[in-house]
Amino acid sequence: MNSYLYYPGCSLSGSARAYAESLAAILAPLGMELEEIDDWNCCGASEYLTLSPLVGTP
Amino acid sequence: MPSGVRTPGQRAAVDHRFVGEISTATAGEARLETCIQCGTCGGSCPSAADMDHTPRMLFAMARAGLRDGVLRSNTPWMCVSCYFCSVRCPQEIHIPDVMYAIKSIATREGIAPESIGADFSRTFVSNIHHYGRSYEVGLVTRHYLRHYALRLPGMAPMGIGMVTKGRMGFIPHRIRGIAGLRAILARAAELEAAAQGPDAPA
Repeated sequence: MNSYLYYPGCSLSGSARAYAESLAAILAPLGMELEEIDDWNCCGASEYLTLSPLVGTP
Repeated sequence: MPSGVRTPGQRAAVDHRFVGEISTATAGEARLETCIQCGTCGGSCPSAADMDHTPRMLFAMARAGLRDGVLRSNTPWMCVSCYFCSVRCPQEIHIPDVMYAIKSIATREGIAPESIGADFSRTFVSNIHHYGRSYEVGLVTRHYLRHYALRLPGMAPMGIGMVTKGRMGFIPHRIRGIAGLRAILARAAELEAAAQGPDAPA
């Protein structure tokens, strides 16, 4: 069983959770195991890039 | 009439260095100068109907040096970053990345605040600053109250559906390491201000 670090992101744990559920269902047949990164933060999506290249200043 | 379109007899300011400016601001390679004006981008775009100009038109304007018209266009703000244009473009232009670059130039120059799209981005970013993760109920509610208050009740059935299916949470999740994240963001803001120089607008 191969273990991988897993970063779901806001969408996969919310509006796109169906993809996370599909992923969870296919893990065992593929011999994979995921370990979610502890206390992960938002990737910034495209909204940060929109406001500035380094950091989105509110 | 979309911004950037002139009335007869009116002359637009032309900036022939604008394409280069966009390329410099684009992460990676923009390839904007290779556009053959085929229109595949606009024909693929789910947001084209809401745009002042299709991506093809916007790129033609940029190459014609119509800097102000491009920066005032709502087009990049309507882009939903689906990347469909990008995968279909025969010239492999990195269209969404070009859109980000145009938006960041417009933001830097203080043109973007007129845009509802820019306000959406600011609301999103302020949620991340508070919680460390996206808080969609708060984001959507604030954005609609501010810009489309009358349409908010119509959105309720979809919102309730998403909440009951677990696709949206009423209670925001604050990460434990929020202080560390804020420190990183503050440092990035410092580096960016330094990179833009003392004359850059805040």
